[in-house]
Amino acid sequence: MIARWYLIDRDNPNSVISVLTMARENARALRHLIPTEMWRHINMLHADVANLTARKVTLVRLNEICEQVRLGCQAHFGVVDSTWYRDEAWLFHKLGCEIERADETTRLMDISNYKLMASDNALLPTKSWWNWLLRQASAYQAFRRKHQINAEPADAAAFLLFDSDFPRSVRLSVLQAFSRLDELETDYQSAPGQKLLVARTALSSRLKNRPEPLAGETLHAYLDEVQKDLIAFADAIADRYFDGG
Amino acid sequence: MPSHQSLFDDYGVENGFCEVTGRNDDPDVSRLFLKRLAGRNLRTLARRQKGAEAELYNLGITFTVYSGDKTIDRILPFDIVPRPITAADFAELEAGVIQRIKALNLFLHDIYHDQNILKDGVVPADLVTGNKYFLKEMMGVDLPQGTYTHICGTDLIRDTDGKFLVLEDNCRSPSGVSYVVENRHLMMRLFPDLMEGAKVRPVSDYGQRLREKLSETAPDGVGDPRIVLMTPGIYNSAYFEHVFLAREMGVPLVEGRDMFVDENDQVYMRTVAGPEPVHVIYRRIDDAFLDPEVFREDSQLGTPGLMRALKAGKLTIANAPGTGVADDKAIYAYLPRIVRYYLDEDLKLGNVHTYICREKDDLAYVLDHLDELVVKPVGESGGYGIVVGPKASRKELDEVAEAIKDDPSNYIAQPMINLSVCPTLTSEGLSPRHVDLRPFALTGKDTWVMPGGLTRVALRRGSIIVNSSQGGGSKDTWVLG
Repeated sequence: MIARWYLIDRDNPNSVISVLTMARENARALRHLIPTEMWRHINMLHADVANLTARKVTLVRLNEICEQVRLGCQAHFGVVDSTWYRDEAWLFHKLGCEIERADETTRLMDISNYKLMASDNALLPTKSWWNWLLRQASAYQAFRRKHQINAEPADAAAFLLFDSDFPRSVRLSVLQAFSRLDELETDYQSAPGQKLLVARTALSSRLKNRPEPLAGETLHAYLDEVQKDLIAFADAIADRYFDGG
Repeated sequence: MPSHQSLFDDYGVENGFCEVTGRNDDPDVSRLFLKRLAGRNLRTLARRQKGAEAELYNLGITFTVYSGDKTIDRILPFDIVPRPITAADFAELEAGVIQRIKALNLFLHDIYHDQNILKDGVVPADLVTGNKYFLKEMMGVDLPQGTYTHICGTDLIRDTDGKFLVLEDNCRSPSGVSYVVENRHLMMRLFPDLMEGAKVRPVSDYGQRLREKLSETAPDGVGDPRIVLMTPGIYNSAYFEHVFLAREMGVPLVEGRDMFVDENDQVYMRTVAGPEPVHVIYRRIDDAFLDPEVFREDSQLGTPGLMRALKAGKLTIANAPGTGVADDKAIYAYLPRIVRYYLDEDLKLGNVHTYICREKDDLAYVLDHLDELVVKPVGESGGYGIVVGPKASRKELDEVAEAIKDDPSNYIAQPMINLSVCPTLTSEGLSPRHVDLRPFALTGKDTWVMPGGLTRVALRRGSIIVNSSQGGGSKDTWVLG
């Protein structure tokens, strides 16, 4: 069953257990910088998944298992938010989370878009398609509050990319990453340097230039560019703060 | 009310002093253990013990074993029955530990300066200067407050009469204090019913005390010293403790590569805002790896130049390099004479009688009585290489006899000592299990002894080896009153 490959197979570097194991090893190495409560919670989440045997991962229990993992991840952010002293380590952690979040949203959109383009009625995104996409991103109810019932599918894509209040939108994530960088500079006298400034400006102007139409090949190409900008931004941060220092 | 059986009904101590029933005249011991604990339900206690161990695992209070690409986290097994120490017993222990540390620091200062004790023939010179932990680089180096062993963990046992005896003075880098504090926190959270109203002295301020004592030994003229904890890194089995201590003190945890020493012998640590000066290093890394400029050149764990900074008086290293001479098992035998030499006092906390195989008469006695003695290689720790005569096979005895004859100076021997016992939760109920005690003492201007300590317990019936690598666990230690 493919769910086992994605959940508990340690040969798959992207399986939930592989990723949680890596997260735990990272947490172990950074244990002196993170709250005890966070370390404890990662240990417990890891143990929950590590205890899943192939026999336990059945189609019948799949939803329950995935819900447990999802809830565990959300609880992780709650623990982090409510316990971490707001120091520079916290700033870097947030910075990483925001970039990762922006990136994940573009990938989710790209996969949905790809599926649509591969299907028969590729030309026009249907309402059911963007409905589904919004729900995948936990964005449906938020979107509903902002848009009337006659909203267009492109509005959904725009919401996920450009909304300034939805926590998983690319723009909000990126803006928050920017403000962490600003805090590093003002609170820790740690200026970003030229290379990072360039990457930041590029990412910023990319998000100001909305392509038309926000669907199909154009959307795919645009998401690709955003991802490249995010990678360049993250690389510039790594060069500035983590290599050689 | 159903009549309640006491958990102590079937508790029979076959040999050794019992930490609880041997102190049943103490009102606190009697009330908290022989009455309160005795009335508990065994199965409930066993279930709660499992819960406590799960909590230790969740909190990552573990030592980590790396095998191949796998990491295995093990907890130190935790026994929920605390080990009590009465106020009177603690006062005796405290005074004894302070005396020993005072003498050891004077001894270390002397052997790294004028060496009077060697000139006067009290301790054989070759035993000191030929010792593998003796560092000639420390000759003539003056340390703030004359403190060499800032952190000391004295291994104590109790003989059949309940008298404390010292097995070892761990002056280099004693570990285990994190368990003392975490075991206490665990007891307070999970067993409030056992602790309620008990006057147990707190151990939770260890980190703050440690920081104070380290500050007291900062280099002269440094008002607000920057302290760091230096670890060999994540693969060290005591890494959890390094993290714990850094956090409890509120100081950065660093590795050798996070620091550098400039041409003016000032130590710095790297931060995102640039280098910041470092004044005190609590290192949990052996002398040999500390500074590749002076010691092992191939050390990846150290920071080049630390010894320069120390000699220039710009850095305090705790414990000081070269301190290992003082806790060598061969020097231990001379401690009664060392205390008399410097303090003109009798030893308050006695030694276990020790035969020094390098001395001719002792060697002959040891070879003659191998089956009665415990033989220990000097300069080893963690219980490695120990041969317990009465429990060894003929073959093991023959092997150790050969080893001693080959290199007598490498061995000491002690009579078999029966460790005291403490009630411990087993599948059959409360049973006596052998325990030792490691109180931790911190020395800056003066010495503070933590009211508590690490009680290690040999979980196998009859075993007297309490080391965690060989089936030992731990208990919370309650200093009462």
